[in-house]
Amino acid sequence: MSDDRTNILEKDKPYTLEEIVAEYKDMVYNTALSILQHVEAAEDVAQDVFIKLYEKLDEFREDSSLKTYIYRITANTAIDALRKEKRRKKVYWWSGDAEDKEETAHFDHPGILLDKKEDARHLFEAIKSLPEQQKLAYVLQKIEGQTVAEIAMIMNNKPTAVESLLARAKNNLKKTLTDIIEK
Amino acid sequence: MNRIEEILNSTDGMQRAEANPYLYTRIKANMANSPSATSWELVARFLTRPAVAIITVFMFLAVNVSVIVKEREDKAMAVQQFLQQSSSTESDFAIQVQSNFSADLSSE
Repeated sequence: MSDDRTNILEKDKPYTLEEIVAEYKDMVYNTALSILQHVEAAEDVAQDVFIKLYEKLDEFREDSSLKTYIYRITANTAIDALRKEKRRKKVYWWSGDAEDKEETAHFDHPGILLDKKEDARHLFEAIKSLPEQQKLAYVLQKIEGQTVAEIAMIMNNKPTAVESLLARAKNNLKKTLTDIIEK
Repeated sequence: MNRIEEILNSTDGMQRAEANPYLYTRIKANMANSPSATSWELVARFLTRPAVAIITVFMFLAVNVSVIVKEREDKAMAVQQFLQQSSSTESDFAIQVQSNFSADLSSE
């Protein structure tokens, strides 16, 4: 690492943090946005991811690609943000404070085609109710287009376990969507 | 069922959301503004980790329980010793009284 602490080395390829941010910022932001379903929270997570990457680069092992490593940090940071948000909501609930207005707001992903917006809104609402690991696996596959093997690397899990997570996620989504449609 | 499949496939062909074009500038500003952690902050961070906190609480409880158990054992031991001592003193006294009594009888 150089003196200005902005050079990041991947073996013999020198990258600056600026280059890495330019290359991966959309990937990081998009993943965080799909998990958190909140623009400002996703922007905060994207910033945290690159700061963590910069601070933890010594822990980066060459047995996974930089992209996988960045996905892993993104997933962990986004899940942490989700947990913090859950805790914050619990405190609101216990304190009997004013109800959270954001809870009722629907999430519209900016990349969805216009004619599919309504359906995608239902889908994201259903994704929100999935358990963390299922949500992560589903977003990585369906939104980020990662293969089961890649997801297994990102989640530090076995491919069979990821397949099981994806199957359970799909089943849960079908149940939740049935309820949403019936309403 | 087809309707659900339609919804599940609604993300097909979606575009990636674009991150803030000034993200790098913000990151640099964040890094410049965040002071590096002092050694005390690092210690506090370590101590407030859930695993460390839970282990510390369990160790504290284990030490307390072991002290209480040890104290009870010591007390029980002391009581037993006292009882043994007092019973032997009582029997010595009885023997002495008996021998004195028999000595008195023989002198009479």
